[in-house]
Amino acid sequence: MIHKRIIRFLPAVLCLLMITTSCDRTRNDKGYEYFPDMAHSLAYESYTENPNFPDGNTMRIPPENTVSREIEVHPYPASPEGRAEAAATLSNPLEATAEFIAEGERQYNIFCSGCHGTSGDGEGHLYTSKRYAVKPASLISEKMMAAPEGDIYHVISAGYQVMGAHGHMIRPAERWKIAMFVKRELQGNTFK
Amino acid sequence: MKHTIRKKGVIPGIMLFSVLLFLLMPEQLQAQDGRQLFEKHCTICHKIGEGKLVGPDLKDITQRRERDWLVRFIRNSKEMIDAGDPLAVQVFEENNKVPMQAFDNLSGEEINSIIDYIEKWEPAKPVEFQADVTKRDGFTEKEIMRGERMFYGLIPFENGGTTACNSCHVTTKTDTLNWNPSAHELAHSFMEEGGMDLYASLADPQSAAMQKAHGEYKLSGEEMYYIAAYLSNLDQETPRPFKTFPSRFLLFVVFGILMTLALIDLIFTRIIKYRFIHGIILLVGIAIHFNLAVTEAQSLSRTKDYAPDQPIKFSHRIHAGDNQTDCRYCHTVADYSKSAGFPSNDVCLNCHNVVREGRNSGKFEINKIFRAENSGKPIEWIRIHNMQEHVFFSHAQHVNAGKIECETCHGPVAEMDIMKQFSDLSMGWCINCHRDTRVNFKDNNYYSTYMKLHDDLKSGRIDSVTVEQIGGLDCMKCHY
Repeated sequence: MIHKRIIRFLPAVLCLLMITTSCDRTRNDKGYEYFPDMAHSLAYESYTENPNFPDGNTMRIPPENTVSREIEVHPYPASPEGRAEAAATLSNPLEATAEFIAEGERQYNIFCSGCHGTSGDGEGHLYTSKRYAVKPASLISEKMMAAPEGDIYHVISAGYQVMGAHGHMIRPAERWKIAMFVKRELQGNTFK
Repeated sequence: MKHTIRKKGVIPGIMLFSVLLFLLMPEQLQAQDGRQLFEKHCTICHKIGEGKLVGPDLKDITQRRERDWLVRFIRNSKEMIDAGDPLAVQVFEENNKVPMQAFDNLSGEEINSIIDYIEKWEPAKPVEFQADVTKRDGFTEKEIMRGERMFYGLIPFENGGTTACNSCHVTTKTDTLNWNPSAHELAHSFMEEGGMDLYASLADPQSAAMQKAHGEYKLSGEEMYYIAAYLSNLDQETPRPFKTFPSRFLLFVVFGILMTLALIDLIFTRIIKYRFIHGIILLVGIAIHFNLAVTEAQSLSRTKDYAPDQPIKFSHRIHAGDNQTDCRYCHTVADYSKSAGFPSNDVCLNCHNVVREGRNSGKFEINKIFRAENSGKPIEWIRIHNMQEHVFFSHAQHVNAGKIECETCHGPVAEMDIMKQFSDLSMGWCINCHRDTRVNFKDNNYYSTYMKLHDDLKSGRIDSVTVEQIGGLDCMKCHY
């Protein structure tokens, strides 16, 4: 009797097992791996969890009062005073070459044109499509025409009013190239 | 007798109620209007009672300034400054000389309703409700059960709206895109430290998307309490996984059975006389089985089409597609680093300190950024493209040096609401591209050393090239 029952149920159980372990995957399912011996890093990678630190992150915040290598500190605050001070003291260490200006244009189109527009008039796509409500500053206004490259460099690095700081996204040399492009190309073209 | 008395009381009651409604409605509507207008036009630069943002704090502004002056200033402040209005110039000077945007699209009534709203503004009071509105745990079993029934629409709400909450806030995982937060997400953000104030947002929907969806549901305090009870309990449960229909597996089984039957008939029973029928069934069956086996074997260790639920419903279609943001605006390190990098909260906040409301998801998803920023707890994005550890891949080499477009490997990201792995990242896929891609020696400075060596060899300045000259002594050639 018991044997018969088991035999009767066996196919059903087998089918159920196979369906639950089927190869049809949802989008959240990564699927199976075949001998993943060397596929996963034994070392902790930048973004992985790390049980050795109390906050559980592998990436560390630099200890207080230290500066990481390759990081250029921008000591001027985002206030109007900081901006004026930066504009007066900072000067572009790079020489203006066509190559740098072209690179500046490339960087400008990645980081700036969304708000300030490809021609620098502050009519970027984010504003004209009404997705971003605050009118971005025009880079070809009289005020900006008079501003030195250090002023543009400072605003990119530290931000100004609603514009956030972009210093953590763009390297110093690239920021200078953008400033160079804005001064020499964007503003230069409007004179003609 | 009892019935007649009741009926008599009902009609005057209704009349009185509608008269009351009629009397109360316009004022309420206006107040609502003022608030909405204020939130739409003013909150980007102004706060009430919370200090200066871009423009000054507007608390008690009506006591400090004449209403007439305010209306003119809101309409067009630049004109007043240019005309030399002393007060306007003073305000202009005090606020870093940033003129206020002109609002000549607003009618006088609308501006007045905004000023009314500011005048009548009071610090937010906790929602009037007898039970403890900050209560998050310690609900009784009965309260949780009642909340669950309400959530599933089994108990209608007192003030109308019988639709089940779970028709939008689903309780299972889904495979499709659902902009509404799922029940578990609601539960989690309600229970999280510094999380969503469920009572406040149910009583007063904060975003346009939520106003549209929740507009007709006016929950009483008691009902909110039960819903909170259910959600607090739900947070401890894991959502039921989404299961797909095992179509490929069934195909495999069906053809397995058909082939077995065909074989049995061919050898033993011989019911079907024409043998080519057996042949066709066997051939098709074998073809399908092999095809399934091969595709399955190929997809082992590869995670093509993997599109996990991310902690925030971030849509690449909206950000990269509709907003036309360059990939590298957010993935800044792709130019310099091995990985393209997860953008930090600061990158999100560059825009989202102003854009605080999504078109599809309201404030629920964007608030998660602020919560992470305030608590310092990182947003745990899930990495989709995982190259095996034994393969060295660098974005810098491909994006910066090779000038390969992001879409070449990642596919039409600007059309993906849910980001998925587009390429299978297999070795064959890498090699095929490396075979076909023509290196741009002319315009790409990265390869100038090779060009120089080539020219030197040609002109006879050198007779051979050492490994060192092509970068063989770089540390990372061996130690990566």
